[in-house]
Amino acid sequence: MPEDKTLESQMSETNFVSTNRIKLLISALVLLGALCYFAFMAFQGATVYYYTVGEAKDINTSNSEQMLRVSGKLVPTSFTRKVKSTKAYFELTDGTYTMEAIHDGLLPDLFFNEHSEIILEGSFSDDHIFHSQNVIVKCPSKYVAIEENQS
Amino acid sequence: MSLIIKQHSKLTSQLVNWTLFILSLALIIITLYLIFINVPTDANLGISQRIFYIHVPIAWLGMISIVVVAIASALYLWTKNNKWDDLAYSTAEYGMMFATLIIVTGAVWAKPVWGVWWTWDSKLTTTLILWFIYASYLILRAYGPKGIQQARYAAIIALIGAIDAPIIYLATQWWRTAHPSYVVGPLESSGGLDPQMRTAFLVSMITFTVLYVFLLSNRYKIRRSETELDELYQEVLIIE
Repeated sequence: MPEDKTLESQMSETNFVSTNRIKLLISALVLLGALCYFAFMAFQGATVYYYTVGEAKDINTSNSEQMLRVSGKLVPTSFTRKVKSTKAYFELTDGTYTMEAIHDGLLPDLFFNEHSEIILEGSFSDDHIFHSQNVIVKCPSKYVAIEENQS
Repeated sequence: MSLIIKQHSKLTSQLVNWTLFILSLALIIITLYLIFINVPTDANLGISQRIFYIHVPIAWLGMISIVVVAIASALYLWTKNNKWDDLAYSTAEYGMMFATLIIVTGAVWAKPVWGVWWTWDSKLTTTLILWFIYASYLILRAYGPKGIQQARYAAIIALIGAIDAPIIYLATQWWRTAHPSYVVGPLESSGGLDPQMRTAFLVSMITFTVLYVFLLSNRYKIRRSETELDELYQEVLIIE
């Protein structure tokens, strides 16, 4: 009789372990599924880290709340900033198209470098002027020594 | 006879260890000289570009570590030999350290050059994922089930995690990022680096790699002792 009991308790223990395993497996699968879903959703939007000026031109401005990043080179002659103001007006170009932009705030040192590519984070207003909230300067992919007479 | 062989191998191991230590020290001094005195300042990025000679070797070690962890883990699953698991664990600890340093040195460089500490570009995001992979690996090792099961679970994390290393490397090619395209390495565009800068960079890569081998071999030895002690303890428990 006691032997039967041990067997019974052993069996119930095995059952307990296997249900636990199934629970663990199900929760792991649910978690993995959720993770894949989020990764997929995030990648759809995030793989395009920035648009070029030409691509941004075609973006519908009616949804002006939409945040996006646009990259291009500064048109050097276009930059203006009023005296005692932090608001800067300038134009970005991808070689073919140009885009008007406004940025209120500090600008990184390399903003005016002719080799720099500028990435603006912000949104378009209805008149298709880009209102930048963040400026990121993409550095040149060549490192060259500074000229002796410059240093 | 076996005692003599044992003593001999111990001596050799100590000799190798000291050689690595002295070599690392000498190379560190040379690298520091190259970075801060010898190398010319970059024409565009200025003084901040000098962190390149530290940031990139660190990134190399952070990425190669997860590959080493994965290979050691695969060999552990294959051979069931604890030595491989110990190597995987020791490497993961350094991987975590280097992954943290990639992000820190990157942020320090990004602020003056890009204008921001952080941006969600693909290279940064995949590096952050690498950091989380190391973190989950080490959390599992600290709080997961003990023994063989823990080693197996950890091995699986490492094997999956290693996929991230080539993704980080190729991110610049696959997606638009704020990172510059390849300045050095097999995918570089020609003339991406001034010759003097290239020398400093290569020396720095060698320095960091030698230092890494020195640190890792010592951590591995300590981990081996820990495992052996644990095994002895288990044996005593069985006898009792």
